[in-house]
Amino acid sequence: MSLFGLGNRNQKTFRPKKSAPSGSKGAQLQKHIDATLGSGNLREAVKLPPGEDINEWLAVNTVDFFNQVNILFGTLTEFCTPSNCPSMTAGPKYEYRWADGVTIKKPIEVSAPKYVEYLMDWIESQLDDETIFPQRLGAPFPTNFRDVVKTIFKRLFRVYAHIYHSHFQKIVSLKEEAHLNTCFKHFVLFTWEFRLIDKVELAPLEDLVESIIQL
Amino acid sequence: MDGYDATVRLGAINLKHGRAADFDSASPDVSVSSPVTRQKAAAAKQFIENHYKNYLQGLQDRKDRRRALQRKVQESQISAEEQEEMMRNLERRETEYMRLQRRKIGMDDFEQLTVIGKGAFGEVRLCRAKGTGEIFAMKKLKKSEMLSRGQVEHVRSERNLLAEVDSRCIVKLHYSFQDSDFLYLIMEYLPGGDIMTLLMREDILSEDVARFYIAESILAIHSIHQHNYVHRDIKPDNLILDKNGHLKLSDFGLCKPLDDKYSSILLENEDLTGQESTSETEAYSVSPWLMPKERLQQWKRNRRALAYSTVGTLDYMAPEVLLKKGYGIECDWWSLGAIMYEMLIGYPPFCSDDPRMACRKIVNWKTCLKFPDEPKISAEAKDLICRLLCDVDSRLGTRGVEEIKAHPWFKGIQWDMLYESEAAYKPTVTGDLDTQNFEKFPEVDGPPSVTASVGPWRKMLTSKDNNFIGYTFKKSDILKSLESSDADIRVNGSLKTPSLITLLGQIDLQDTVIPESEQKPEA
Repeated sequence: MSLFGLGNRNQKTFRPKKSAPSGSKGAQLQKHIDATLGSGNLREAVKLPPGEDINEWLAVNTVDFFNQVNILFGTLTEFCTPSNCPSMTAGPKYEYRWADGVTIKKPIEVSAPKYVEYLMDWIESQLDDETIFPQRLGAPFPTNFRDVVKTIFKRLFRVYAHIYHSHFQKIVSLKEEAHLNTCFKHFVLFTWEFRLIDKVELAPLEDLVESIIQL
Repeated sequence: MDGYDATVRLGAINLKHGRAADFDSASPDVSVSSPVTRQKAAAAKQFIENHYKNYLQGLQDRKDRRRALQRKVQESQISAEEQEEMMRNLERRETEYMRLQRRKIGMDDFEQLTVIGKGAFGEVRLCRAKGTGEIFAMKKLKKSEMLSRGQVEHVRSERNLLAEVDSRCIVKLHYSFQDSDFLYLIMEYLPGGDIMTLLMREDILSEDVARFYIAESILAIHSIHQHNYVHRDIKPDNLILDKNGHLKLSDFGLCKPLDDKYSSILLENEDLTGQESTSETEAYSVSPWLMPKERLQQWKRNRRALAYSTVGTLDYMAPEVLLKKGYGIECDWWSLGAIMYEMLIGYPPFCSDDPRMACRKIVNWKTCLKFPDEPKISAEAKDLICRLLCDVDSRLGTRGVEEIKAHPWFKGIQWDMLYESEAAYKPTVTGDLDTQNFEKFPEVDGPPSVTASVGPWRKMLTSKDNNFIGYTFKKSDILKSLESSDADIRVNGSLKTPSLITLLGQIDLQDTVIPESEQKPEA
């Protein structure tokens, strides 16, 4: 039975892989995962400032998170290659396929670096689109702005998931784990504060996310 | 082998058999990363650290502004309605400020005006922000020159210091960005010119004027020392005057955090400490004031050109910097001593037509530091100069800036009030666009043969130019807009923001010169 036209959008680009055991967290890596920059109270920092417009707060933070993911992933281009990462995976159970709904309507399987390139180009086009992220003072946000932000955050999470599952040792060897963890912690707290990513989408890093939210 | 760094090829991962790399069960890391990757990682780490520092500070500042306004309205005797209005006004401005934070800044946002400085690595020119009309100095550096002359670290250190240090003694950086060919620093414009210009005009300064500027220089130098930066190249052309005559420190091309590895400069292969023969000793002992008058005048005329050359001038550099021994913040106090000597005597203590000779004199300062009979200076001034131009161990400032401030020559200086007091010298400035205190430069005829291109914005941030990762910086002064509490920000006057199409398109780098008649005199 064809699923064409049925089911939600997620089923087209996000599909759990079967017949693969999930591993448990290694104790050796735990201390690296716990490392952060000690950069103040991020839990407070994500809250909407008094009197601030919610969309403006979402917008400025979206740009910041985009820049952070961009610059962190940029340090891994030597390792995240089509031969090393032939598909965009987040551990053995999750694989992402790319579709932007405009140029590529049907999800296609691409290598991880290609997926990230498509993704970052797409996000940048959203950020540059003044009908979505207005830059002129006084210009209004569109009514669907929050939905766009949620899609951006959902997809940015996939880059984090890929980095943690596939390249964390490289991050450690480059002594970047405190920076990665801080950015990710901030990202998770922000998404949690404003409910920007569905819980099911966070599954690839479930344990890490839970530890961030509950502390 | 030193410097050799091979990247071990990673085996392909066969995902179909479920052997994907997993951070839960990763094996110990056996590969090494390339220098490019390590460079990117270092830049990324700095970018992120800077981001969180600024982000959290920004939130704190915002809370402070709100709390201050709440306290103010409660103390005042205005109606609840007016109080509410003031709070809403602050909130609107904060929202506008936040929107400005995520705007992309590029060349399209500025109208280029008069060239006020030109050198081997680029140029400095007046520019006007379109939309707001605000005047800045745009420092434009050629990437290719930076790379070929090993200046990448210098550029980074300048941008980092300007972005980090917020002080009234330091020229303010407002934005930095890049395109494929250039790096741009959009800085505060200081129309008063620099101390070099003042010295070229006045020849020597009175002790009162010199005392004022040496004192302000001490505060400026100390402000960067407090941030663990050493300037290393303080000289009169790096000391710039605002329109009221107050001094700000600029041009941090050699500036670097204290823990950076030392890099080589001119004279790397020359042995400055060779055995001195009798004739050489006599050569060293020739003091500048014994130079023929004509040669001294020629030296003064050439100094501006030398400052803009790739060599620059080393006349003010401390001996430990030249000798490439370990050095610390004390080297900046030596430079200050050389500047003070020049202010009072009329030329640097170790100047020479030949940069190598100048270096020899500096290294042999014990023999070469002399004072001419004329012009006469006070005993205190001479004493202070001698305590700055000396061995590190006995140099004033080595044990803290307070020992310099305590010197008798500064008797009467109110250190806390210097920048609030009237400056010792008032530069002539006519209007916002006045550049009379800078040297004139011929305008380039016609547009450049090759126009710079702006690639996808994010690739400017990361992969395209590894050497200039994280160069973009933006610092908006929300307090300035808050000062006029009743004024509405003109929506129509807001800056037109660059779209992706604009960024991908060609930049028009043609010079724009405002006709003389359009410059309006200061009201």
